[in-house]
Amino acid sequence: MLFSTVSEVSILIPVALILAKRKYLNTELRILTAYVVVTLIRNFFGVTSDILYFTGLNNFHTLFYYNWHSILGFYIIALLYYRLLDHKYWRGFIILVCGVFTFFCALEIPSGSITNVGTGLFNNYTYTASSMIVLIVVLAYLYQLLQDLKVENITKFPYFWVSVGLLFYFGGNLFVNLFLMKAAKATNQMTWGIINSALSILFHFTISLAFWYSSSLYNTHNDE
Amino acid sequence: MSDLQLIFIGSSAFIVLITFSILFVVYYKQKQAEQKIAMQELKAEMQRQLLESSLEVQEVERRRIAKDLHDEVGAMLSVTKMSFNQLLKKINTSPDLTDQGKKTKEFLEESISQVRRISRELVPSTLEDFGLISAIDEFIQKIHIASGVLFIFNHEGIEEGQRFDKKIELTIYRIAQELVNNALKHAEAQEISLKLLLKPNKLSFVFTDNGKGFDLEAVKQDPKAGLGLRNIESRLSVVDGTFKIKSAKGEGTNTRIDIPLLKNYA
Repeated sequence: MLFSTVSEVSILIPVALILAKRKYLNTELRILTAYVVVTLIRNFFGVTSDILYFTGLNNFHTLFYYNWHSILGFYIIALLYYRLLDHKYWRGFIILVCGVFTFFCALEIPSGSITNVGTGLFNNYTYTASSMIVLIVVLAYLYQLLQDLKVENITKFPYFWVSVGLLFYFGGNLFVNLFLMKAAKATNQMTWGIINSALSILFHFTISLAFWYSSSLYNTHNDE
Repeated sequence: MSDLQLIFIGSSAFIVLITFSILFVVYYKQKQAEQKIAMQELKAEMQRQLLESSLEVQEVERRRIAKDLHDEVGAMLSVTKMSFNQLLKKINTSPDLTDQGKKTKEFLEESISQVRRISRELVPSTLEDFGLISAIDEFIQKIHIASGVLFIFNHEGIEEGQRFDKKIELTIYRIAQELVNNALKHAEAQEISLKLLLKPNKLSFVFTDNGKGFDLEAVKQDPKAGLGLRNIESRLSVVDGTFKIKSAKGEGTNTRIDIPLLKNYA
């Protein structure tokens, strides 16, 4: 529980960097900021619930916020990569998968996982679907980077760190969803929580690096 | 599936992702370095081609000027001289006029001779017709007659009429001209040695003078003084040649030029 709280609080690192580097943020990094804001809102409820739990008061279910975060987060990431990918086929692919993903979201309605604030259920499809789609799109973007070779210093390129972070986070979550939740039903939620928290911390760290290097991107654009 | 097995699978997947990210960065940088080298090579090749065409244009222009001088100005001067000779016969009444006429005729003859000389210097016709050795020989004889400077010209492994690629012949000839002019103008040399050496895969040209010599580093820094060196460098880049200069104040100058023959040898 404590580790989970730490991971939720770690979103404050990219938030602080967004505030510090706000003048360097371009459209794509502003889209990423939207993702951070959505995560911040989700984590606010998560941390509040944790505090209530630690103080011995009645905490509340936060899965409703997690479920919505997975949906909104996916659309934001899709928009981000729609802008980053140059090839029209990949852009078309993103539009198509957004449509498919919306269909999966609609399938969640009957269970109440996205309609009932006090739900104790995870979304059935959106976590796995979003993880798989994001991984494909991120790999496509990394391939585009390799083809173009336009970035002078890849380790100081914000979108590289965003992509690496997404690769780790969604790759890890896909593993969690496919193996831990489905293949090993006996595995308790504690194991899931620890892995998810570790992935979240790592993801927050990599998107912090993206915001940290936003100034180099800003300078490169201005030089051009 | 036990928790331990799942942790093992999870850790393996995580290590794969980390390895993928590291490999991506390494591969990216490697490809970037390869691209950079390819771009540099392309740029160098473009510069070489640009220089080559610039030198070709220069030679064409020299040829045009030489032709115009010889055919137009030279012909007009010859006609003027003939006409003046006719006029001189008619004004053979006053001694003053006759003297003035003779002087004018001498000026005309000198002008015709200068026009022919300039025309010949602009286009090394001997180089085109008889090759490098004859052209250098002719060039140094002219300079020797005009300046009195002693020339020693040797050639090893090359026969009198042996021909090379036009670009190589012209490059060596123009560089020889540049070096001789420098030796006379700046170094005040009294003795100049030129040597052409043919080896299986390269043609070398060694130039030595006993002039004042110069501080090579200082000349390289000076944009005006280093112009001659840059000209030599530019000309050599067209034929993939290299050059080395050894010089010190009071110790003369030694220049060695090497041009590979594998690609250019005709």
